[in-house]
Amino acid sequence: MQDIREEILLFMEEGRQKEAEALAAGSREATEFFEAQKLLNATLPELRVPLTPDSLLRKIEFRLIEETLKAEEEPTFAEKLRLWLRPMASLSLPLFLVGAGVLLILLKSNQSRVNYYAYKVKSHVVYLLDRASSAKDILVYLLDRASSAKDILVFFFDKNSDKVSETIIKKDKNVKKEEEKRWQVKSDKNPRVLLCSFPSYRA
Amino acid sequence: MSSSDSGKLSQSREQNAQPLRSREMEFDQILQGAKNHDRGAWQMLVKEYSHRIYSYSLNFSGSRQFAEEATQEAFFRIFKSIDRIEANPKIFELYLYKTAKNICIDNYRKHKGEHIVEEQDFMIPKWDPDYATKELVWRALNSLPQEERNLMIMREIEGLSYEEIATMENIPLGTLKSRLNRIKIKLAEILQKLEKRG
Repeated sequence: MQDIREEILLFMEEGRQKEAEALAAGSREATEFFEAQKLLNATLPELRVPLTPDSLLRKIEFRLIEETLKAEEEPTFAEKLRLWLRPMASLSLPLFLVGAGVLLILLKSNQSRVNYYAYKVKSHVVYLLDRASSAKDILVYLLDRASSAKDILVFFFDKNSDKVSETIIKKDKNVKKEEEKRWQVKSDKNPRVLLCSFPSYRA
Repeated sequence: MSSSDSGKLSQSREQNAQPLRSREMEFDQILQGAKNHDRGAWQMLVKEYSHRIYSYSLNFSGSRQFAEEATQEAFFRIFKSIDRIEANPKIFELYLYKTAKNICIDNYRKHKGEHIVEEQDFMIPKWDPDYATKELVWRALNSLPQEERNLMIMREIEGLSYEEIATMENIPLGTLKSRLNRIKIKLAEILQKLEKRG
């Protein structure tokens, strides 16, 4: 049946209506298919709309006029870039120097990455830093990770000398040292980020 | 609309299609004008091509309101991307249809294929003498999955050639032809079922 229908379709596509009809005459289903196809061929092209309604033409034109006006007022990308860069011009050299400095610090560091574990202690995030090689590394890393923190108290552990030392970026008076190797956050007024390094934790 | 008018329609399509399609140099100038935000150029593009998008969107959705919105949206998108459009009227036309298709399919997905058309918004007016036949055929077309419907609209309603559709849809020509044949057989079956249901 599928083959007959495809043949009927082929004849109709080629404009050979009579051959299609003759082929379809062989069975009721084929005839019904032929009639349905004839109806589709006659009706589908009539569904095409040859003209856009005038009201729609006006709406489109109006919208395009609006967009044209917007485009004319809006600065080009080159102009936007020039406006953005203008205030930066006076800062460009200092910024370059700072950037270069940070890059040098990072490159000079013995450690290519700072490993850490993050824990939630009450409402604070505690980062345990492992084997940070220098306070400068911590500082750079901190500034990147916890820039929104108001007070940051940093401890780092020198594994080789078994010594805990601390670098205070901003002193937190609410942190109580309870024992030598453990620090607890005392109250909710503590800094949002507390970073510390514990000798018992290793990456 | 009687069948004798369909001959006039296809003739009018050719008349409408010829002016810019055949005069590539003029199209190139108009497109360049459009890229320079020349309003006259845009007016010509809208006048020449908007009915293609409108017709496609209307047949895809059945809704006059949606078709109007889709046509406006399509030209808005074309406006935004005009700098990237090639100065070839045929390619531009295919690009228009592709834009219309994307808008229609996005809308179809948004409504999860159940976009109900209000009677007063339906694409075929009640006073059309062939309303019953057209409505039946459209319902059959609307029963097809969106991709099949898209191909049928482009081929059987908008009259694009197999080659144009194959280019647009990035399908091999042979695959497209056999796919369309299967869709036509399926559509005829749907129509027969709808007719029997009454």
